[in-house]
Amino acid sequence: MLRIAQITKKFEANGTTVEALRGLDLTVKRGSIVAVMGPNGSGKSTLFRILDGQLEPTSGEIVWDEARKGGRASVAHVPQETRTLNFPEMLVEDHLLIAELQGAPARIWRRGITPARRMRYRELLGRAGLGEIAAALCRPVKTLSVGLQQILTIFLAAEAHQLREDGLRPDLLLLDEPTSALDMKNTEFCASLLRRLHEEGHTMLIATHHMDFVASLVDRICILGNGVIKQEIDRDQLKMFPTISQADPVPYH
Amino acid sequence: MTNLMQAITGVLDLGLLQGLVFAGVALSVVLSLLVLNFPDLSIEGTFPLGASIAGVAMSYGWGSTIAFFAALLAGALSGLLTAVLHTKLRMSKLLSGICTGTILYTMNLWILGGKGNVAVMDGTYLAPFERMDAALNSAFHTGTMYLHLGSILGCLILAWLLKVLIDRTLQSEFGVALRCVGQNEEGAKIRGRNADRYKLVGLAMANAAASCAGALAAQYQGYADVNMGVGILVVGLVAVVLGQEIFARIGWSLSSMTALTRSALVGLVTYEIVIAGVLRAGVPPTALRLLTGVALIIVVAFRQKREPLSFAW
Repeated sequence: MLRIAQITKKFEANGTTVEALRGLDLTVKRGSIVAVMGPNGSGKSTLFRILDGQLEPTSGEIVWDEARKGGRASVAHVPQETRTLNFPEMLVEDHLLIAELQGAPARIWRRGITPARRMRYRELLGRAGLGEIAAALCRPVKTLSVGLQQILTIFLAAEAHQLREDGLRPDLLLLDEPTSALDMKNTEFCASLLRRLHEEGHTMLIATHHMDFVASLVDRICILGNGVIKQEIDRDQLKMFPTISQADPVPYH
Repeated sequence: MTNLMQAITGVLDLGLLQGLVFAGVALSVVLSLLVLNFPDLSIEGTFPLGASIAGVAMSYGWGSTIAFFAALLAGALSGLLTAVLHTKLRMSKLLSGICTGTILYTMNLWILGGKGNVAVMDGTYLAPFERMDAALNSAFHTGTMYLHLGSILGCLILAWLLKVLIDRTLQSEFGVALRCVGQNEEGAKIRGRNADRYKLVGLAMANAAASCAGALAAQYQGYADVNMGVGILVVGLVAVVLGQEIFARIGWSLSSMTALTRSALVGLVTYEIVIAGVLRAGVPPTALRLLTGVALIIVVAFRQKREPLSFAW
């Protein structure tokens, strides 16, 4: 589905060149979940920002499968700091509306929040098991807990396509540290949400430091270090690791 | 006692009328500052721009409706200029507003034919309502006290129309996206919104509202003056902060945009009533700007929630 071939990315700063990615190769099959692990500065965020189009690679190529030939893949990126995507003073329902309008014009003659839209949002949230957020539809997002805000952001990236006319879900879902702000309960909920998305056929790349979170969830783990994939561990190999520490063989530098 | 009642009625009458005349300024500050998070200082130039254009257009016999729409268009263009300076030339928000305001001062002087002011006497929007004033005063036997009930009604209708127009816009799909741009520009861009385009439209709307207020003020005062915008931004700010404070103390919700615009209008009318009362008590009109500044300080100092103001400068 997605093939990343020999991607490099160099940043120039104050006359010095920093090489964030040094010829990274990675293949992600359609419908699979791949975890990208590695220490801070190993290139995870740079890779994600290249995949969602925020950055251009210095060299190398990104190849999507035949279905996307000639067109740009739709990538939904949930950054680690979800507040970069949120509008704290605005209502939860406004966030759903903006996600619904993504890729479409916002018309001045059409009312934003209508009773019909509100009902649709409630139903969608309810179906996803997010009753707590559905009950807070008319509240500013800043009044939700940080965990619920994070869950809402992940939900919008993955599920908002159901509200759009084209109904096309994103080709790739990029989740950068999705559990960083979550407590145990919300982490479990997040895992069940991702499991369901996996069953529905979503393709996901997850950057994380938490092996215990991804171990039961992903098809493959790629260990990044110094801008390249140092090691890949597939699902069968994962079962052979009795402890988390043994599954992280790359020394921190 | 009768004198006191007369004084109170007079103050309420004048304050209410003034507040409704300046309604566009309060709504302009709501749009630029609360919605777009853009401290647009050019409003001090846009307000007299509306007054000048309306005044001159009416002195040429264009009629009040054309004059009003000419002022509205000019205000929108001035907002576009500020937005272009900010979005295309990457000027800071403050600097782009200052630059436009400076340019507008000369423009206003030119529009007024090089004179500092021009009289606006005949054919105003308020003329029919002023005739109604006389009729109502006669009907209610107000005696020596002259009330502006008709004019208040006329200004109330205009302020209400402007408020409904802005409310409807802010409640539309476009309005929700506009608020997103004001709250988190980067987030709005990630969600596929062209932030620059929204700023262009938002500032055009805000300045058009201020310009409308200027056009109405010129008709109400009977003249357009190149300096009539000095301090008008602070009046708008007082209106917004005071209105929010009044709503918060009463316990009324401020979570919807209609409530925000309503609170700004309530704040403005309250402020104007207080100012009318202070002037009636014998404080000289030359102290008006001082009073406005002090009013803003008092409102901010005694706010119920000592949080930073909800808008960032």
